[in-house]
Amino acid sequence: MTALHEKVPATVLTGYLGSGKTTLLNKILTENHGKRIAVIVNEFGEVGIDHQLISSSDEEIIEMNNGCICCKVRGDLIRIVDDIFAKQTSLDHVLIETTGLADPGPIIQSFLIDDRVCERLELDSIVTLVDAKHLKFHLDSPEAEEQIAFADVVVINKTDIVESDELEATERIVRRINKFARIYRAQRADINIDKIMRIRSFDIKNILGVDPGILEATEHEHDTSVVSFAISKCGVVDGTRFNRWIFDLGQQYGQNLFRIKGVLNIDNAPRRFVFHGVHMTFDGGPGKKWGKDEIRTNDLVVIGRDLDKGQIQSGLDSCFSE
Amino acid sequence: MQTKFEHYATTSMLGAPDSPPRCNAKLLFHHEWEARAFGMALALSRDGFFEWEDFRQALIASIAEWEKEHGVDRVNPEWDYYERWLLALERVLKAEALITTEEIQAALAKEP
Repeated sequence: MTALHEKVPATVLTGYLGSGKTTLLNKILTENHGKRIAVIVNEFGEVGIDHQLISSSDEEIIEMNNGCICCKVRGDLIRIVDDIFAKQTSLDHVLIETTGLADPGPIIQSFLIDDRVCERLELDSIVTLVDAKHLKFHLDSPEAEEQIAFADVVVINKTDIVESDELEATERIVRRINKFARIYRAQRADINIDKIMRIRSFDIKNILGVDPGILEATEHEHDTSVVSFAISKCGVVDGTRFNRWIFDLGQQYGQNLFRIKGVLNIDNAPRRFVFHGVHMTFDGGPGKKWGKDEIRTNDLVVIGRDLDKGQIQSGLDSCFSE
Repeated sequence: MQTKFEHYATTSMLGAPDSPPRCNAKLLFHHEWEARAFGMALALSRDGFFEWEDFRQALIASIAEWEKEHGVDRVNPEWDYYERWLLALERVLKAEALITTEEIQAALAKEP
């Protein structure tokens, strides 16, 4: 009986060109942390130069030389995951580095919908490295913005080369794109790996209510089309109506719906209903039991491009039972 | 998405080796007590008395115990999926201190 073997957690590491991903990978591969980590490196271009820079160690580096990750990574990722598990069965963690030009969406979706990937790996979190000094120039590229929008954790790197006001300006940009990510600051990508691994952002059991502080945060004026917002409302959500609405939402926004997660009081069931989604893919199920006298609040967090908050709000409103 | 606990729990087992027996895609019960044991496990987990994952682990362990002795032999007349189910349920209920061995024995003694 092998139906319920432990899955290996996987972190997807993104970040624009030059943000310090290779430095961080080197650190993870050489540091004495006692964990067996497989690293999947994706290269952009014909020659994988970065592969030469990563120091060798007992850990295995598998290089994907297919070029742009957004086009065809899914098939490759599946094959590479097969290879890794054929050679090494006792892994503590898998780290997938995407190229600086990649849209993280397809890779995340592979975790949610491909049986061979989700049988072995469970998506732990999306970690995005940001260059403290150059982020403002990278934002001309939609990928740089999307990498931040998708993130569970943003590491603002190279803080030693900026003044404090510049650093704060960078942090404000990150916050404006993604209100919900945890933000850490680092120099030379020196960050404790416990802050970026095993944080279980995609574990539906781990999706908790929205931090009330986030809801109170004032709305920023946007000079970007990426928005993130939270909706919080008491009451009972009708399961059938909600299901129909959420899949319609996925159909409507598709690629522009980056991340959505929520904790809902569906049909007044004893347990919370927790779910998350990327683009048109959703995953959800029963979570923790509600407390005896607990006020049952429905929380929804949405991140995406060109989303109409008012329309999403009224769409969710229409899912409530009388 | 499965928004009902019962749907989520049963579909989570589909295709897995601990999945309940089915006939024409419908759950197959040979005796009334089997359906009761099935429903009781689902209802208690739905209401938060234990995690479904913990029950599945107990079920897998109880099936593995049988297989260790008899091999994977589903045509053996002694094989009974719901006996394994019931054993797993009893263990989980005891582990969660919801029922004691004495209470189970006392209830069994009352049966004709």
